[in-house]
Amino acid sequence: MASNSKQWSSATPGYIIFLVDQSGSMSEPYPEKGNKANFTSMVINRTINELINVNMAGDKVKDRVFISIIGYGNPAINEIRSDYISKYAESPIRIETGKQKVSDGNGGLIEIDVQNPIWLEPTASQLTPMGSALEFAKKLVEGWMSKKPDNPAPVIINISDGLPYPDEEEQKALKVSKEIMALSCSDGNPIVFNAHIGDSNAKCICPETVGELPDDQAKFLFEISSKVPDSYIEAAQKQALAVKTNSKGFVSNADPETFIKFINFGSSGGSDKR
Amino acid sequence: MKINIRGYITHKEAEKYSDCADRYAANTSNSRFAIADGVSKSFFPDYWADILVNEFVALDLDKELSIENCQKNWLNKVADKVNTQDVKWYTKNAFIRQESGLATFVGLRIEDDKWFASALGDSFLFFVPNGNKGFDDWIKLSSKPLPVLFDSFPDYYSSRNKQHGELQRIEHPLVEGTFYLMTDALSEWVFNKKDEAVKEINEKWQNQEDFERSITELRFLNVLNNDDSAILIISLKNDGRNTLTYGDVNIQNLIELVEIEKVSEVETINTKRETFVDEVKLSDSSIMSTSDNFPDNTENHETSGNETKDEIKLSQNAQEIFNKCINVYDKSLMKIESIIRSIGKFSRKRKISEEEQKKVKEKLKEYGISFKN
Repeated sequence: MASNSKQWSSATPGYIIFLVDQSGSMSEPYPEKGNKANFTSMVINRTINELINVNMAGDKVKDRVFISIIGYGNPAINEIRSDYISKYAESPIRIETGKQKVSDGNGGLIEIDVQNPIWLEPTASQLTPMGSALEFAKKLVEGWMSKKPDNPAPVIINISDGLPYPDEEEQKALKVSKEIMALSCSDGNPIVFNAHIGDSNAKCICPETVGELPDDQAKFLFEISSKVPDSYIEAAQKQALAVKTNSKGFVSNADPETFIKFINFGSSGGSDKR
Repeated sequence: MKINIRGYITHKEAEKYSDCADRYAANTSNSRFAIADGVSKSFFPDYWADILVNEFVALDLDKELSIENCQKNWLNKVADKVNTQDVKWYTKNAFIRQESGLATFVGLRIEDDKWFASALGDSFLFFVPNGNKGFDDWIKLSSKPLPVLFDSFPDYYSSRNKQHGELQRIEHPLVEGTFYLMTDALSEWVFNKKDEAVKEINEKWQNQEDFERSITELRFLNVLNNDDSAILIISLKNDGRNTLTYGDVNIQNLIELVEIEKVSEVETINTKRETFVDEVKLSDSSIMSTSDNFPDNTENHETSGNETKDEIKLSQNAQEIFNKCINVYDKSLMKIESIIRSIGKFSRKRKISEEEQKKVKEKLKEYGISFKN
């Protein structure tokens, strides 16, 4: 069996860790949702909602995935929630009413009221201990894999606007991310994907080489990203993401829609495979 | 021609009969049979598969299945569910988004000296004539193009929209042999193992328990995908008569299995609790130093109060022991749950008296294990 190809199931659930940068700079303005922290929360909430939809067959959510949401910033490392997907479905923090466009059956669109659950509230202050967050994620991955060695390889999705701070966190992040990618279970190595919410207009989606990147933050996050496994190609196509042979699981300065697609892609590999 | 029928069904590993979205139906009064596989990531696929097979076998003679009628029935049934007070937010959202149930389908009709079959998707009909010389002599039907490749994109009927793919139909003269109608996981296994698979079906699968045992073994050997699995085995033997007569009809009723499951279901305190997150938080001192705001450990790791390091260490040890206890407790509950499931199956086969079952339940109550009514 190819690496990272095991399908999520109730017998062998997948494991996703969302690492969320909650440092002070995340309060900076962002075209979508006012600031970066609001946008990140929206993306995570929407992704979990989507994961509930794909693991739901009517009135029951099947526990095919376990999710940890880990914030880093203030407090330094905050384990916000770790649960099976059905528990997220049962108990969001709150539910907002929103609008969604759906087909009217005659080729047009109508706007309807839907309920949007919230599991992550935006927050932004202090430093960016990304290395420590990855270190914690590594321990979680090891803990999960020691108990479930035959399950799909875990996936870590890190969402950040820049470099770790203080400086030693950068070296730590480089070292630990490589250690995570070197761990292994029967399905292969855990995957680390990174999504960079930058300030420039130099958009970059799943690049193959570091030379394609505009700035130091993007180059750093590229370095700590895994190569997209071949088994994820189908999921990438479904999200209309142009993934090439040696692409890494990394986006930088993507427009909001592409950004959301990337997070959905990173978190849906296991649910899109047979 | 004399007809004997066997039918077996089971769910994915680590799921329940109530999660199973495969369905089959047989009607011996008009010799109609059907099997359907509800796509598990669609909306109420079990309702959809159920409606398709039951509508098909209820039809008279050569009447065609009306998908429009099936869609109306599905919508009414789902609307009833969505209009209940305790409807979940995600169910309501999916209904508002007009999501649909999807299912593959195979239908078989025997009439006089002919049989007619139709199929959409990767559920299969195999007809294995008596005296055949192997796989190439079998009649196979699905809407999968050749060479058959099992993937995640089968054709299907949709409960709201147009079908995906083209319904395939065949008709053949009635001869001695056996029909096997099955959903995709079993079909793939039959394609891979051919005569060996049919031999196993014919020789080993004499009842639901045999079937389930076999499925567990095949999954363990990685030769069968972990998917809902259902099969109808319809054997025809020439008895010298011109009419169809029915001998043994032994079709496992899924509702019965669901009911037994409900009775034997143990109410546990969150058996799916995963302890590794707590264990990680406790075991790594470098993480602890930067994480004094873990929601459920704040009290244990407060460093600014009167607690000494020793007290913290003791507290951590206690938490570790507690986690280990929870682990053992969880495993015990799962073991007890599996024993109780066995009791349920055993009592169904061996007729253990209700009085005896009550005694077992009372004994288990002493250990804090209670039951749903």
